Amino acid sequence: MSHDWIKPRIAEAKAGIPLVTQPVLVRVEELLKGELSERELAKGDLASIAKELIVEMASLSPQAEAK
Amino acid sequence: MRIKSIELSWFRGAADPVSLEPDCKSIVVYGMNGSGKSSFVDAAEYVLNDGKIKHLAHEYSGKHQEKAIPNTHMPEGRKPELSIKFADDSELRIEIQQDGSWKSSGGEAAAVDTWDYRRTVLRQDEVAEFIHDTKGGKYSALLPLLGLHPLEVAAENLRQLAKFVEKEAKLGETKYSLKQVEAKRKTIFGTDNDAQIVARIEELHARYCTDKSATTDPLSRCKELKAALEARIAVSTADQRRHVALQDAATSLTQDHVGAVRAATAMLARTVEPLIVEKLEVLEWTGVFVNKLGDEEQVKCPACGQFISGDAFRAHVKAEQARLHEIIEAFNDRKAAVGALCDSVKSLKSSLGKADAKSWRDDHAKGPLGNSFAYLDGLDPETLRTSCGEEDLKAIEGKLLPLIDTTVVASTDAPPDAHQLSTDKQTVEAADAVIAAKEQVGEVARVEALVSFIHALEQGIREEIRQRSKLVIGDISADIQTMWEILHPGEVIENVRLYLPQDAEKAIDIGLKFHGIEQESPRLTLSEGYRNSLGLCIFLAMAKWGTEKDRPLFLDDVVVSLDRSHRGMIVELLVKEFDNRQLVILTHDREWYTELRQQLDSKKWGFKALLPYKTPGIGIRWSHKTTTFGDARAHLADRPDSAGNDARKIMDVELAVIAEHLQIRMPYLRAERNDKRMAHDFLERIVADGKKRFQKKDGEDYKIYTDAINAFEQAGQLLTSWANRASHTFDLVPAEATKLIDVCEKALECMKCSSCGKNVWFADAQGSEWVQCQCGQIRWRYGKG
Repeated sequence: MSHDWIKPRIAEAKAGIPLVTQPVLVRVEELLKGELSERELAKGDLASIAKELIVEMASLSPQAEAK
Repeated sequence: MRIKSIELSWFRGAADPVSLEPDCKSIVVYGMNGSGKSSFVDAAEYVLNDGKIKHLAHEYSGKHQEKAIPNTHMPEGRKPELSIKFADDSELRIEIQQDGSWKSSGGEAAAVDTWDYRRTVLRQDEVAEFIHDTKGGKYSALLPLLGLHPLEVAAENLRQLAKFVEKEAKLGETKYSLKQVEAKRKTIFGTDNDAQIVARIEELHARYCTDKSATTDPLSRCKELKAALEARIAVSTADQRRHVALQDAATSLTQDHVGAVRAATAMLARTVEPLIVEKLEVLEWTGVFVNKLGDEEQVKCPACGQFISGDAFRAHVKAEQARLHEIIEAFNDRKAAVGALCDSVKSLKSSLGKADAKSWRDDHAKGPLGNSFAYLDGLDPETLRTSCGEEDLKAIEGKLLPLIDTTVVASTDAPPDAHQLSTDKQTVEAADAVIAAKEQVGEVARVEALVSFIHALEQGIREEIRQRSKLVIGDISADIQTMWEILHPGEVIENVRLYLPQDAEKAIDIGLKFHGIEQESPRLTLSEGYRNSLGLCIFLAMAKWGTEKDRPLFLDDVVVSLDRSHRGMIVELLVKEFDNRQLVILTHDREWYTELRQQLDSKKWGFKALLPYKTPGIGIRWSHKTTTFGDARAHLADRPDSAGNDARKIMDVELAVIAEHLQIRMPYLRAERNDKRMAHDFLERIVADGKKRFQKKDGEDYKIYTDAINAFEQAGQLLTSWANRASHTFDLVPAEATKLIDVCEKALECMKCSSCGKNVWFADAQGSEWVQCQCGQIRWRYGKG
């Protein structure tokens, strides 16, 4: 299946939520091209991805980067 | 990948190996009920559905259907086997063991495991299944066609991921702890704003940390202040130190902590208790709900047990989900309140455990507070965190709060220096918490933003699924509409289509216009016959839409409830829409079989008839003829009358179709009698016309085909005399019935060329008036009646 839909949908979801950081967007895009779309993930996998994204959210937000 | 053959051995009705051989062409198989046709379809289903056959899934068939799949009379030492050969000469072989387990080999190239049963096989009892299925069931059936499985998986993973983000970030606990900090801020700072709190810290820093004037960061100032105050306290008098410790103890635990736990518990009880009562009802009604949903306008909700209309059901489930969220919030609040209580108890233990407070403690331990100290010493805050009940709260209130009251009294008469140190210490601790909370507020905001983003992305993917589904469904609907119009030309049921209901996700339904009025479901207006016809169109449209265009389709007795006129249109549908697809059609309808045999192109279609089933030991048997005289011959020994009657019925059908092909004009009869002409009516005209128009090649010339005319005449005579006896006086003897069948069969064979094997109407010859077989050996000229 083509991945063309992923970027626009991520951009759309991001709109209006400025705190979401660039590394989160990049990571979510990777995940949607891979394991998130391939199979229903086990609890352990979901917990590990959640932790990773929480850490990525602590990176500088796009606004902060701009400043 | 087309199928060359399906061979069965001791599988279902089969005994010794019997093979259905379409040889990569389409095929129509005729057989009376019970002749074994469906055994071949069962074999296909067995392969596609991983060793399971749906109509055998019942309590009597055994765990692996081992009681239903083998032939009941399978000899000792034999096992059911089946084999499918494909166009590329690869072969899939399956051996079934005694316990129903099975092993397969070969057939990888055909990738049968990727064939979807619901788009490959349609049985009589499944024709209207799609129509009767729920919206969700229809969606599931179409999902493989939509190719959206990865998107569905992604949406579901994101839904779960949002929950895990909240859990991993301890969002609920952090939010509660922020509430606690806010409460402490109010107690210590009243309505002071952040700047005023920072100014207060700056002031204290200037007083206690004179050597650290370079520090400007408020949090660092708090840290330095804490150290400086601890140092001051450490060098103060024992009396002062004791007062500081007691003041710490006095502010550590309040009735508010106990009250918060009790309030949260009460809130939880209020929401959970009625829920438990309702959920017990759920268990009772969930089982019956699924069955009821299809036919009832009102259903008892499986979430709460109340009666509710189908339309309101979805909204109701949403409300139930909101209630569950509320309960989860209540659980989190209680958990946080218990946590705060435990932290307070921990702090109290620490304060009163200090050496500075020992003398005060020893004095009071001998008095009425002895029990309180003993209780505090034995209390494990971590155990309390996991199992704090009303008994614990009562004990805390009865034993620890009096202790606190005593420390409050003791701390009020503290020397001014000690009082100031203690107050400043509490101010610094509160300010530290308030300033640190600002970072926590930021963390909470980030986590909430991440959760919102994941939810928004999940919704975006669901919208993507919806948009793509619409496109595919639009295409499938167009095919359904085309097929429906072929089967029902000029009828008032129109705009038959699939649609995505606005109020539901993962749902598909069927809409149509009935006499100009939009209908949300065919079940509102269509008769059973029309529903079956629509079910057939939907199956064929779905099958057509598959990515693999060369997979065979099995249609097993699917026209049973269709009337003659609509059944007749199926040939046109198959020719127009499935000309390049391999179809395996099985029917017990002799008339339809004859129509198909006469109308479908024999270059692309094969025709086979099964003999009536005799015994399991003999199994499934093919007739050597493509006609259905095998049925008649099967009765010769015990019921010659029946055999004679069958022969006449076969001739009625066969000759009606032949007369249509040869454009034989029959005298008009009143009303429906036109459709009820008998074999001898047709033979009379065929003989009369044939004497002028049926010719056979003789050298370079054509001569009247007299042998055929004689055969027709003889058949006509015997049908008039013996067949009538078979149906009226029931005294036909086997020898007469045998002759009647032979003569009828011979008469029909005359319509087929002995050289090329094609019927006389196979091709046009010498303009529009003549038709002939493929090689031109026999020909017929259309007459004018």
